[in-house]
Amino acid sequence: MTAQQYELKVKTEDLSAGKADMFLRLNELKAQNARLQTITALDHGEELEVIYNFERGTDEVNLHVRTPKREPIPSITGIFPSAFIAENEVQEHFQVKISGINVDFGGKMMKIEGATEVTLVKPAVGPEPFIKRFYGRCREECPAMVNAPKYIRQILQGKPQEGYSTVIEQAPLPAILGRVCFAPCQEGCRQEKNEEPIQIRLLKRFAADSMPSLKRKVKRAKATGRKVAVVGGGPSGVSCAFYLGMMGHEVTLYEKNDRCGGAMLWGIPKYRLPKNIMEDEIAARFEEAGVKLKAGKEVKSLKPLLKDHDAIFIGIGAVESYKLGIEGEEAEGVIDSRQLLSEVNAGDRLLNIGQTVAVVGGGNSSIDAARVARRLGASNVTMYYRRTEKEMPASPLEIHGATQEGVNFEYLITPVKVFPGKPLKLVLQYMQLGEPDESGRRRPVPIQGSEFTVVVDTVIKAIGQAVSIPKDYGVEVTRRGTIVTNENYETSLKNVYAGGDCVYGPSSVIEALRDGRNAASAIDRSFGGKGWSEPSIDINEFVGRPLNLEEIKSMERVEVRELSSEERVRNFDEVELGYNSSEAFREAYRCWRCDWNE
Amino acid sequence: MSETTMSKKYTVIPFGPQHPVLPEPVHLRFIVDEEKIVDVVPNLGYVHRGIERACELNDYKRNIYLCERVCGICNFVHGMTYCEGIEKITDTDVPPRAKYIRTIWAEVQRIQSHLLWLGLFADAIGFESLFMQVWRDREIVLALNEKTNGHRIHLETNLIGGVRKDIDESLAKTYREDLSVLKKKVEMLKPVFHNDSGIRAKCEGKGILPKAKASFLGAVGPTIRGSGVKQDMRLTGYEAYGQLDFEPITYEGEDAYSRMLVRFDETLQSFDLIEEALKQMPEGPILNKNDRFPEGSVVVRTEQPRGELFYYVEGNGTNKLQRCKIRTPTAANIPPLVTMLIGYEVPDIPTIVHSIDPCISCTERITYLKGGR
Repeated sequence: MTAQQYELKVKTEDLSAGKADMFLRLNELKAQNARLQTITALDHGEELEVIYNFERGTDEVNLHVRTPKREPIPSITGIFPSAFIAENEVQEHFQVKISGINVDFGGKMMKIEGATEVTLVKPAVGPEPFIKRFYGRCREECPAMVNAPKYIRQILQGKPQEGYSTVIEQAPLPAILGRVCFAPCQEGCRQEKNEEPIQIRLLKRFAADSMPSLKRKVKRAKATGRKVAVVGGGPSGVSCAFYLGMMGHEVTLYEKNDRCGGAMLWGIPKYRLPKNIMEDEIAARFEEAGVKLKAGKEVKSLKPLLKDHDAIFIGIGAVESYKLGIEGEEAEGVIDSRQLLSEVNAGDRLLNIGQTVAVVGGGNSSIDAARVARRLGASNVTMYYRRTEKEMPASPLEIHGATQEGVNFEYLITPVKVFPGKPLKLVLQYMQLGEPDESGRRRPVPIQGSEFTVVVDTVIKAIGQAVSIPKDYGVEVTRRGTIVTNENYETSLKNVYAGGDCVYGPSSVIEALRDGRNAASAIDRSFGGKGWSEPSIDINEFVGRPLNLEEIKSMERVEVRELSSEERVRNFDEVELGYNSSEAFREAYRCWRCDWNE
Repeated sequence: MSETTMSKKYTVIPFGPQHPVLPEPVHLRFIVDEEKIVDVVPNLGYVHRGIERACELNDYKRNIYLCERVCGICNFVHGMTYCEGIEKITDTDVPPRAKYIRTIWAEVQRIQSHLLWLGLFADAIGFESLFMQVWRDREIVLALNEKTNGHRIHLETNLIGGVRKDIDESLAKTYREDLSVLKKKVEMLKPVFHNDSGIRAKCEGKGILPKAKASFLGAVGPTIRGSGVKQDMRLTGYEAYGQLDFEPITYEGEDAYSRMLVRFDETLQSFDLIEEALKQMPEGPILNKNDRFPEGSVVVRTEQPRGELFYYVEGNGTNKLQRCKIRTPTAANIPPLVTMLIGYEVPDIPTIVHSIDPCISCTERITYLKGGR
């Protein structure tokens, strides 16, 4: 369209309105897509004439509003937001009040009472920039460096299934860890200062429980053609096999029993770790990583394996029990805790242990044995420990649980002799604490002449497990029988690696998983690979700022639902019922996000 | 979920009134979240000179010089617009030749203003050699002004009823010669402004002003034409524009880059308009004197280099005006500027602020913004 055609069409229209109907006119103009140009005013003595100038199409439209000078004029910024400049101008030049000028384009600057100019009601949209990242105390405390802060956030964001994968980056068995881990992360939690750490273990379990199936859809790395044999299907072996498989190696796992799991299978009661969940999870990991399982096949010597494998990982654990070293130990009715637990935990057979049971020892596995004995029908279970409760290695939670279930504790007592028979006669002796020994605990000293006898149906030895390596393996062992390894988990033999309980004696699942992962990395590096990616701070992860810290500090821990103690002793059902999603959300909400900035 | 529902504190960065990137005194308070601009609070009123009030106290004929001092860069258009207003309410017929002469000078000033801006914009985005080159070329227009009017910047040739100076044959020749030299120089810069990857990286996608929002918030001039709206007061055919054939330049990019291209292409278009006007210019008088006092009111709108200039003139039959209201294009472009800054980062501020071609001193007949905040 050229100017010549345009020229004559420009018309000027003058509208007049009072204060009552000016908004009607303005809305009409807005509906006609009129563009506000400016606002002019004329001083008529007592009256003021305000002229709103609009452009409608090519026409000029002037809206004249006459108003007494003292009365305020309503602002039109609600209809034409760009009027604020002109309205301010009129207000300044003509000493009139224009009420309700709203300088607001995005709806963000609506001021609330008491707000400062920088307090906005609505927040900015989009990801917020990071300031500084830390590992987080919980992550630093974890032997396997599991990224706890990240999966807590993922649970908070309603993505627990992503949280499950986050755990697997450092420890491949979240469903198991969520039930049995001793949770050092919770000791590192900053909420611990309020004596109520975030229940990180239960959140991990929630993440696992939210999976429809424990098997995920993941991609293995390109096949490298390298073959690795893993000896032992315990946590360290499973972990090593999984990570090696994910890195593209061909892994075969040899397990001497029919079922994988190792110490997790026999050492952990069913009421803490249902065996079907354990087996499902291990099978899911094996399937993801393409691990071949050869169960029921004991490896007696490494030589044949070394022929057709590029590397071997030994993770055979600590399976022998320490002996009490007293007279009558071999008598019928004296059993070791591993025997008892594996009969009960791994098998379906229920042992007849009678009504009165004595448990000797003070570790977590002794307490497990005592609690199992209660479930097997023993009405009178007593634990004998040679030191006091303060020195007891068992966790206070376990002691508390056992006490609730009716287990008696006797301290500063040690067995001296067993008289065979049915029932057995167990001679015990009182002790007193002497000088501290090399472990820092005070050494118990027997009090001469304080022997006394109790009549029991069964004596359970639970003073710990020892490592026993078959001689044919040919690896160097320490005085205690554990395998000697260097910092790369290499043994004295070339291409043979070891980790888990068989290297440093009985320990925890999470440490075994860490060993398996690190050994897998070491094996991959020996093949020329980069190893499993080490945990590093994800600088791109979106982390919101902590909300009101005071509010978070004052929130109470969400207690997990459990079976009642009467119900517990009747069967082997899982005691902890886990969090549901709202409980998990509330618990995850308590996180300070101290890994993000302090 | 919880990450986005919290209220929090933001940083406030004051920009101006004294700031290296924009020598004119405007104060913008940027409310930023780290680097991201969340909101902008404009604050004007640092160079309020009371020109509108002075227009009511002066003789209406002397107001021409006052109005020309509203803005230094586009002073001729201000004077011309004021004269047009008075001519309309006093029923003065302007001779056709004077109309053509006004059109030519208005377009010369558009070239001068756009070149000035292109240089400042190049400086704002850190392209200093381009800034120097554009400003060196701009000297040709300023020298031409001096040759023909006696002043480099202020032409002061407007009178009510016509113009003070004629463009005779020899002057027309000078215009043709000098402007053709300048046109070649500007055309040489075309590939730089249109294709340079550095300029594109700095401007493309910055300061988005959607088409609908641009009209609604009342953007004018190259700012709205960069959003694809064909809004140009020259189309109304004031002065001699009705006899010239041209099409307003629009770009659809809605960003700072489009606004820059609009200004660049308009510069080239102005050369053609001047050439056409010089060719068509009829013979005849250049001034039609009329001493009637103005009575009645009128709204005059012209296209200044920055956009639509708005004059409301009301006379009451004496030699003094009842009211003279001036709305410069920058005042109309400030609400769009505020919206186009939101969501960008602090380093984008110079690019976006410059992209509306702010001329704060002409905007400044108003004082502090008071209102909702």
